[in-house]
Amino acid sequence: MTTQAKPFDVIGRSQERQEARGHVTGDTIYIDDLKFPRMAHMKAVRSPVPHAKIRSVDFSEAEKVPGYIGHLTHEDVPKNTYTILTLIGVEPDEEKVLAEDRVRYVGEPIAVVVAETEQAAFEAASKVKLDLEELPAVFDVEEALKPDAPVVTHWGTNYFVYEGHECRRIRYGDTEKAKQEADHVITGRYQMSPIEHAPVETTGCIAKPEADGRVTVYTNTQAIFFTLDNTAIILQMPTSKLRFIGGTVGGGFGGKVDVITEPLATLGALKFGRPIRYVYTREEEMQVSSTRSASRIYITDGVTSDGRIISREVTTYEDCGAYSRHTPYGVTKHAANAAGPYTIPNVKIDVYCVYTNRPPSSAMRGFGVTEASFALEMQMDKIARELNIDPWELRLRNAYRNGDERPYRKITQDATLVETIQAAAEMAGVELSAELRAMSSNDREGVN
Amino acid sequence: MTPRAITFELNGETVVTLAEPLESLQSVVHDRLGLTGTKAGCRQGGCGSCTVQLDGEPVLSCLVPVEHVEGRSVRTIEGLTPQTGELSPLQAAFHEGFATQCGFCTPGMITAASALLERNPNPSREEIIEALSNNICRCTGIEPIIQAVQDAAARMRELEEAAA
Amino acid sequence: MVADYVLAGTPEEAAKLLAGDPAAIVMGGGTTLMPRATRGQLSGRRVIGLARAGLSGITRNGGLRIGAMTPVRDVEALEEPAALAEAARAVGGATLRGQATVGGNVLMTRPYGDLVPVLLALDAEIEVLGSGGARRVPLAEALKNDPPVAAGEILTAVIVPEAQGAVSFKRCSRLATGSPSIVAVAARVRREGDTIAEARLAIGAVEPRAVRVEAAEQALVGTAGDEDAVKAAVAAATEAVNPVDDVAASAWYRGRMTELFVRRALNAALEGGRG
Repeated sequence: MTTQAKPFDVIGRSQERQEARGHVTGDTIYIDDLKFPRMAHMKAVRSPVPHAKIRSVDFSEAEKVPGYIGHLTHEDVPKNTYTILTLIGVEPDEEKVLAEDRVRYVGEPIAVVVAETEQAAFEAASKVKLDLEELPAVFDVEEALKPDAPVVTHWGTNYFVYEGHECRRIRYGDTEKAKQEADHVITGRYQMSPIEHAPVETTGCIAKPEADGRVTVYTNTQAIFFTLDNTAIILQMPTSKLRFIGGTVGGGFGGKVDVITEPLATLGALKFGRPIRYVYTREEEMQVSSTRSASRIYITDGVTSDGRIISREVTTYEDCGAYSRHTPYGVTKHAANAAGPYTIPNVKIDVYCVYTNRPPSSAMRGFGVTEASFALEMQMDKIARELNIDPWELRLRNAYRNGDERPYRKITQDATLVETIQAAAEMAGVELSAELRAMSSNDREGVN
Repeated sequence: MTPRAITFELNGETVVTLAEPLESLQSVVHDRLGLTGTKAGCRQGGCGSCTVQLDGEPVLSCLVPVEHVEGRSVRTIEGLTPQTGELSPLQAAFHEGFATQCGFCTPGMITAASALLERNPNPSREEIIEALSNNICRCTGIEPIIQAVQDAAARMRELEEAAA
Repeated sequence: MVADYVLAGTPEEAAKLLAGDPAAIVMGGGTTLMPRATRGQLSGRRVIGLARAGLSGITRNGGLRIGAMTPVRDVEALEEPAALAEAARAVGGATLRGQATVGGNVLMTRPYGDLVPVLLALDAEIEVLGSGGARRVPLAEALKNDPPVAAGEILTAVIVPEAQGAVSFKRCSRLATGSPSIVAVAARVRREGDTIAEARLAIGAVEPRAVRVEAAEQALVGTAGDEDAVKAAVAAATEAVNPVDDVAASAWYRGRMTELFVRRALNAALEGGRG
């Protein structure tokens, strides 16, 4: 009996994006498009300086602004000290929802004001008087690790502690010895700036108190459950009392995963009994919201004359900014990837998560890894130039193969790097030699 | 201090609305008149998500004092959407060509592109890029959008010829 | 919100309103004032608008008379002087050029003001109107004051003489369009035979306002515009400016680009090119 294959309805067919119709007609609803009766507006009062002790905060002039409803300070926040990855056991709690005795970056929120209109909230926020005692600040990752640097964190060092160490470390083989044996030692220093996600829609939410004591939060967070759970922890309330509605995000790229507006908007909804809209201005989005962390990456490679990398040392300083957010996790990812997709018998990796008085860095599109790729591939090209070796050949010879051990002791499986490079060469119109074309992820022909 | 009444034509109909002195056209259209397709991405004329057509010309509505539209004609994305439920050629091209991802820049892009195609039914790639130079997209990398405008222009020329 | 927004019907009415309320703000196209109004920074202020005062339009009579409220887009559409049209294209993006005005561009400090280097190179004048009447001032003179227009006065027009010689405009920016200038340079060269009889060099976007560099101009006058003269002019120009540091570019980079773009502008003007 023969059966005829049915044509596929979905596989191999172009599918209509279910929400795109609303995008092209202007019907899609974003946070700023929502309005509720008696909705009030929340704006933050932010530190104008990178590092200071807070002596006092005076709301008396702000209170006189017509339309002023009230304000929140750290005293109103049930669990003011937190860290967003506490949910997966990351410690310590260190960031403040609202600053207590200290500010650590320009833009750090000290209080929020609530008013009838957005303009009144702007005006009230601008009239809050701050008495600050400025402290020395540090902005450079290597400066921050010097013994006499201003201390950013509450635990006294400007680095995140990874299992007792001051950086995330990988040790494999003996790079000192291998460097001696190498024909060439090639170094590079690579620097990436912080990168702002700059979504066209700014971060924000509206928290609405319901008659049954729950709060509905309309939000453009990228991570609804994550944000709900963190909000519940910060407000010390059961998750069952929170209902988060969202999923329509006007651009995120990792910039809307930091749980920024929801806890305070929810707190405001509960305290003032009104829907609270807390939406970032464009200025806040660009200057205060998290960025991809800036990285400074030093690479020292020991290379043989025929292009084998036998030793790789990577020291990276990631600029965490004033508070952890996702950067300690990004640093771990960076360490795992810092040798590159290459089989190198001797590897030493030190990746520091460094605290500075800059706005906290956090998640952005492959954070931790993309910076490593950039630096490593620049370094590979540098090696190719200095040794006068074809850059395609250099990569194919050093590419990892199935069965190779990675520096963190996992065995490579399902490797396809060799085949990918070969396919890329073909697409780019680059003629590879027969030997290079014959290479495979499954053997070490032409490698040793 | 007292809100004033402003009368203008919006998407083909006369509307009368109150507005504060120097309130932006974007605020009036979005907040007072409830046409939420015209977005406030930056409120400083930098992103283009507030683009509307004023007497057929594209403008950044967050920079237009509403007083300036008294007696004039304003068209928003809602007014560029056919009443029949069909999509316009430009909307269809954006939809089918995946020229919209998060969608936030899309109304502004379509509004600016629509104004371009009205005055120039056969724009070059450079002319499209120039016309959209005040519209930022952070998702698509702009290339699918340029392609969608070209596709729409071709489709619209086809329809013109068929009708002739 | 602002206390009031009054649209003057004529320039005289605007001047009168301003005389009656010296604390009032004059608004042209609104591209820089509206963001402030929206953010509540003009709370309680009175704003006098020029959008209906009949100040828009370009008339040609040898030179040009450009009304202060003329959209920058209309200058972009000019064929002559081509360098001025090119400078107009540097302003914002296409949509914004329909809203930004020539007057605003002349009066704003950096990063705005891309028209000014070319206007300086063309020896433009501005026309202002106050309660004392109208007067004309060379733009180069006016820019020495801050603000260039005295209190109680309104900029009504920019007068551009017919270009004598070749005019060029070169600018450095991160993006080709919709991007602020890092350096904007205009040059004009008029020869008598082979010899340069008159030269102008104006540099914008590196300091708060565009400046003419007379030392660079002098280095060219009387020469044939050979490599030595150009070198001297470039050196004088780089010496004369103190580039600022900002988010678009560091002072160091601005300085390097000033050198490069002055050279390009001079070469273009010397070749009698269209910039």
